Amino acid sequence: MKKRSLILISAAAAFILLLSIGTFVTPDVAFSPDENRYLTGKPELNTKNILDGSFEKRSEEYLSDQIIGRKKWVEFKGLTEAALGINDINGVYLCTEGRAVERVTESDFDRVNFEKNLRRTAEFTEICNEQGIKVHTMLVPTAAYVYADKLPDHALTFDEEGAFKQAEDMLEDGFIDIRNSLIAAKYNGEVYFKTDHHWTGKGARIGAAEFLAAAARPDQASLAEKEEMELLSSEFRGTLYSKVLLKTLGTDIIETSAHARAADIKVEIEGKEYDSLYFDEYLEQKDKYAVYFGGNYSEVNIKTGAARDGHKAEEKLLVIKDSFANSMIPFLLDDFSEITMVDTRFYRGDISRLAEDYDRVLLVYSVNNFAKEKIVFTGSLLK
Amino acid sequence: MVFSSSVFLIVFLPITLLAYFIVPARFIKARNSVLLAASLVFYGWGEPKYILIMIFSIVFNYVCGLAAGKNRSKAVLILCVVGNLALLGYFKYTDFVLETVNRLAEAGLALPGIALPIGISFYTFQTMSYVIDVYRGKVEAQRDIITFGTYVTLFPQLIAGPIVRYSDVAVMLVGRKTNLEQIAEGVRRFIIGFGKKVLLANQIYVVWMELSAMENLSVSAAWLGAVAFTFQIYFDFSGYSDMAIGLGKIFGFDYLENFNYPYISRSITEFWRRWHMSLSSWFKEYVYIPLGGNRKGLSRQLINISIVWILTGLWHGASWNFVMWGVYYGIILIIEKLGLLKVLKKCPAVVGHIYSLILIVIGWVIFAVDDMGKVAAYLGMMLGSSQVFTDDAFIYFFESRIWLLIACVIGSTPLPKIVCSIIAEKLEDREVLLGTIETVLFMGIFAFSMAFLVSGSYNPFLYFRF
Repeated sequence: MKKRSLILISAAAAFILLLSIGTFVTPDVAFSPDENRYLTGKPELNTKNILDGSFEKRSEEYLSDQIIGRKKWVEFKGLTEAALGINDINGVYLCTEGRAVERVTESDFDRVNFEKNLRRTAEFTEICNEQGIKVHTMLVPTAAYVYADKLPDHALTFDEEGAFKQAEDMLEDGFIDIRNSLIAAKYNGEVYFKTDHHWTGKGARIGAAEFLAAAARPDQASLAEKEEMELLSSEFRGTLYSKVLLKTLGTDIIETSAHARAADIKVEIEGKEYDSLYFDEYLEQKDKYAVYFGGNYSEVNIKTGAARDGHKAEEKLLVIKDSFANSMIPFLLDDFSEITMVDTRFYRGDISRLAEDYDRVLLVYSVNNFAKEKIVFTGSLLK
Repeated sequence: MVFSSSVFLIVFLPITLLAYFIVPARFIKARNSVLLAASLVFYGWGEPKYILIMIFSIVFNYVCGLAAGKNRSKAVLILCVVGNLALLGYFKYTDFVLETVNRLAEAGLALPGIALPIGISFYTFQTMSYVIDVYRGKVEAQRDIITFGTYVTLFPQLIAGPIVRYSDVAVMLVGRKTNLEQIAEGVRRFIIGFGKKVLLANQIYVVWMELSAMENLSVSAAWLGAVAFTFQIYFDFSGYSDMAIGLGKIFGFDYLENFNYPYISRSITEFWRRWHMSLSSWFKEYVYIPLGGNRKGLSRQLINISIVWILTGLWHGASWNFVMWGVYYGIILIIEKLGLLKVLKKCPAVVGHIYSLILIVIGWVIFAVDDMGKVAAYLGMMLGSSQVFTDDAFIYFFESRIWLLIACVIGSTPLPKIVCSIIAEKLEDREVLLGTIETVLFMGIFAFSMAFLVSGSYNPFLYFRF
């Protein structure tokens, strides 16, 4: 019996020592691009930290973040779950054809907040309309809705049909319903990334065309719809890939309006001016969707000086948005002389007052974010 | 600190084992000191002020034990029980009592919001059993405070049991040897417990969490959720006991078993002989029997059963649903005692199994949902309040978690143990082969568990870092 015991004990001891020593001798990683967050560094050891419990808490986080082979462990777990037929890993559905889709169930979707935001939007729309400013609201459906046929069988989702119905009822003709166009277009190329929660350039192009059609510009809408695409990257692995870390998901391509790539515009972001909305350095990094504007800011201003077919665009557009708008803006450059984007997650000013300087306002949110954010239009807001 | 954390596994455990085994076995006091120091660190991790409560508890019961041993005075015994219960009552039940008073009398008393020091329910019961046993003359008082402190704080069983009685470990505290077989057995038990906790309990919990958050569940989905919780609490709790027993073995302690396949019971009476055995036997020994047990006539016995079960419920948590849960079992046990048990014995085994499992699952719903209104709503869904038999929620979780459910079912029976012992018997003459197979199996469980544990901290942000 001795040998049998010895084999087991040695293996277990070796395993723990390997983990332990390995974790401490390998250098710490400061940033995890897959998670898009800074990892916890070494905790500081002193009496105060020990007594208030922060040393203990930090050490737990430090060891979890820096444990040797961390990414490999996570990949191993994802593979195990996938092999066991578990189709929802870390809040993501694994669908057919290597597609990942964000999982939003009834308990994730905050219906009360969704309704509050709709009510505030309706009030804001009314105030603007009185001043002659037209307001459009576009909610981007979830990928789970558009690709419902690709979801795992019986996968749980929230009542998105009901949410759109409610938006339509409350916002009336200010609401732009793009669901059918996206579903119709999905057979001619991806409208959502397979590895990221955003829509693709093609999806955003449909959003832009639908908006222009709603703004009573059928000509421009049909032009936008056909706008030529330029490939930016074919190596994109987005946020959903990061959540499951499964190589079986493959990679996505990022494409955008070829016309916008060459357009002569001025972009002002946080006091700095740029001559393009593309930040190509992000194409070399993990978070490639940030190629549009380099990410999200409270306010971005774009002067287009655009003309299409000799007609100088004169309208000024205010876009109130989340990150879904970033890839849609390139398709609108020719139709507005100036576009300002405000991101309600960061913007602290009074949006109603800001809107007075514009001819038209567009709200673009993924339906899921619209239920998550607290969107307030009047008064400066300290969130 | 908990066992299923990186700090425990890759820092605390290796250092403690190293420090412990560097000291030669003959210096038992030094080994006890290492264990005591390590246990205090383990206990105070994150909340060092709790060490003071612990030290108070050690000193108080040490003195009570000495006094009780010297003159067998009833006053000392009462002082000890009152002191321990006051400690437990203050930390665990103050808010609960005030809240109840507020609700009944609309007194509007402010709740102090006292945080519960971990493990206090376990170690106050341990120390009480010690002083009572000394008073009864069952064991001798421990004169060495380090040895006594080691008994009270011993980290393997400190925060989630089993409730180890002093009389069961008195000999081991002053003289114990560890041999390779015992350590290997400890490693096996620890890994099995770790796997039960991380691979089964934590995973099946997702099903309960998701389903219990929904409204209007179909009958099958409501049952699936309740069954998921039934598995979760068993593998969580018994996994923790396995880890405790395993670690105890590595340090040379033999603890009594705490679970004995409770879900294969054929009656609720049997279930409570197999579930959290150290708690049931504690209540039996120190509450039920002193109250007179079954020796003072049937009506007195029924009252005694009721008292024990209200207390058992309350021990599990300071909330009315736990009291309800205790009362629920008290009533079932009384009914069984009054004759149902005899009827069940005459029925085919399958009847007893189904009867027991249904009542156990319903019991866990009362236990898991801490609001009585919600308990009623959930039980209503199990009885068909939605008027739908099955829905997507059921089909999705049942299909996607089918292997997990199968593993949980098999893991609740002695089957894996039987298969392993058959293999071990067959390979008796080929020790190295057996050792290798066993090591691959156990290290596999360990590695899978680590993967799931590490992934728990892996948390991608969908949006840009703030």
